Amino acid sequence: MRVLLSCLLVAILGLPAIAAPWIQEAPSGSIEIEGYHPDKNLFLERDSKFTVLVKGVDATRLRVIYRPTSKVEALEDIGEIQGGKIVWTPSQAGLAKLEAFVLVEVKDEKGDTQTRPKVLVSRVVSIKPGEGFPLGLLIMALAGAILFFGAFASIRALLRS
Amino acid sequence: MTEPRAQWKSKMGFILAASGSAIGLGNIVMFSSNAYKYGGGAFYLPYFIALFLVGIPVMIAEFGLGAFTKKSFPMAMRQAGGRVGEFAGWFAILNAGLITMFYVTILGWVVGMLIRAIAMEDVSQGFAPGNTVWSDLIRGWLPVSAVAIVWGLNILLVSKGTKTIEMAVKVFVPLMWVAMLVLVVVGFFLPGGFDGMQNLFAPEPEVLFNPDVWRGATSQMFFTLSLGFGVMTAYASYLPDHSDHSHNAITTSLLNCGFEWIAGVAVFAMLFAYSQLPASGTLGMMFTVVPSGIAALPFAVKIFGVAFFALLLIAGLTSSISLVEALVASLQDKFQMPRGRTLAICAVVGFLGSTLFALPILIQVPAEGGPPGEAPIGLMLLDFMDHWAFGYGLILVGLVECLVIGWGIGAQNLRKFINQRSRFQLGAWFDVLLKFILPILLTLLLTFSIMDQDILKETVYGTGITTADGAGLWNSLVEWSPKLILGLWVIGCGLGAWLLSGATGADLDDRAVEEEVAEIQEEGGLL
Repeated sequence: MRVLLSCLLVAILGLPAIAAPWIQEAPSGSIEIEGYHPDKNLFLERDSKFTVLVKGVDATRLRVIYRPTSKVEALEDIGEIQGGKIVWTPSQAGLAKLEAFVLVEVKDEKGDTQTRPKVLVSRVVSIKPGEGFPLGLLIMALAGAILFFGAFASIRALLRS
Repeated sequence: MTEPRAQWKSKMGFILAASGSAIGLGNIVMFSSNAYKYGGGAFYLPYFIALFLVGIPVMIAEFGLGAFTKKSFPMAMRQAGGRVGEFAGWFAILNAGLITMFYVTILGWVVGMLIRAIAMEDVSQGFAPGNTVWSDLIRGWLPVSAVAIVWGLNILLVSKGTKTIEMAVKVFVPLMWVAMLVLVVVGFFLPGGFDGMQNLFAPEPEVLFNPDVWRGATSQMFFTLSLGFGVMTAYASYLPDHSDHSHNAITTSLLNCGFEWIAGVAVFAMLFAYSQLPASGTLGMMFTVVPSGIAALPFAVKIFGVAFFALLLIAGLTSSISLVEALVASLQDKFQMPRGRTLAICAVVGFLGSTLFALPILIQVPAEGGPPGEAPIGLMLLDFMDHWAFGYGLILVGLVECLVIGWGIGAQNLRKFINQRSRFQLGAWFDVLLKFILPILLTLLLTFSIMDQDILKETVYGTGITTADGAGLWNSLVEWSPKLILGLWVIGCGLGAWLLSGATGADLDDRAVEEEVAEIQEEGGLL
């Protein structure tokens, strides 16, 4: 009986630890964007308005990181999510990460209280450049031309010599 | 008895071998990762400047050195700069030997992934985002067997020197280009694929004011062109006397960067189409991100999954055989040993080293929800070795190489030697570049790298790693591993180079080089 009770006690005390990985996991929310279906070639476009739907989490704000994890990443606060919706106009093309978050108070190393965002759900999206001068295309063509015409001319000269 | 020095059978054979050596795993995934990290199209400006200022001139110098001395790197460096030169040469070869060991381990993982892709019933499910195929693979024993297969292939392809290498590259290199072109075409027709291609090149001009970007471009150029490994010198030592070294270097460099351009375009089309972030590291890109993109393809997923890993394998093999050849040629030149025995010694030592990086006991990737104390030691070992041997070793060798060639043989003498055989005439700028600009640039690069991140700062490469329950011998080893590995790298390569450069070997006739230099000077009207 004592053994059984001990086991029960250990199980009860250990329950939070066992459950911790599931408890700590981010709630299974999602970010959806109206009119964004990459599989059907419907992408986001720079300078166009889109409605972002944040589902399954109680996030209060939405922000975007353009070119995340790069040396030129740019953070932009989109604003407050109202009724699970917010309108967003992408200002840059390329890969971007949308993050829905709540502001929480945390203590720093000195013991001071600071407000920090706690991201509840995120999604990586692709944004087309839309209208405007296709500088990327120009650089792509120029770089390719230098490399391949250069290689071709060099091989020709080499085989001639 | 000394075996006669082998020669390439054709110009194209040499170009394919040299470009095959330069084009490797890094071209397919590392460039895309760096281009994304450093601002897309804007990265191309420092990249091109590094290509023309550092890449091509150093490659011309390495080709020139090999052709001038008809020796592999350490012996060529000895003829150019005496004992100090030979020490630097052996340091380069041992550093390249270490890189070969973990490079073959990565190729072993590629073989493992290739086998998994072939055996997988549903590749689109198997390689879907969040898959654990690779992490499951490296925890098992399959990579150890795969490492043996890769070493076996290397032995086979290097067994007859230039003869077998030339045969292999004539098949592998065109195949690599075709496979990559197919990937570009597929990428182009993916929804949003063309926008993704443009996105790679869309410039973020503010990065040009970031010194880190310039450092990244210069380092990228060194690694991508296989400079500082001693490979190009060994390959050039097999060239006939009349070879045009300037054109060889220009062609090899442009083909390598052209391949990188194509690979970047293909990878970016996929990343954009499936909204995938490039991984910061080569391994993540190679084994997780790109396969996830392939898994999302609307058709022929299995074929592309298998073809991608087959492409990685052949690209890796054309590079690894050049590394092994550089090692074998160096030992042969020094000790005048028969090729078979030299290759056997290199293969046994190399296999043991590669196995160490692949041992599942050292690759304890923590299971999901598992204790964080189980650090992935094997990956750390590979990561640290990669950091020092690639990040610092190659640039250090490049620096000493420029000094030894520039001031030892004399940049002007090497230039005259090259110009005698080349349609493209190098000007006096080559001397200034080799003697002053490149040594200063590479010294600055090394200094900034050291000051910025590693030894002096609290980064993972400079300090210990904190494990969850920092007790016990194993955890102490883990915590001290960054310092231990740095120490092992410096002492291992340094001591090895010192011993090898001091060992009694081939009786080099140093006067032969002096006579050749004198001859060049006479022809040039200097004497």
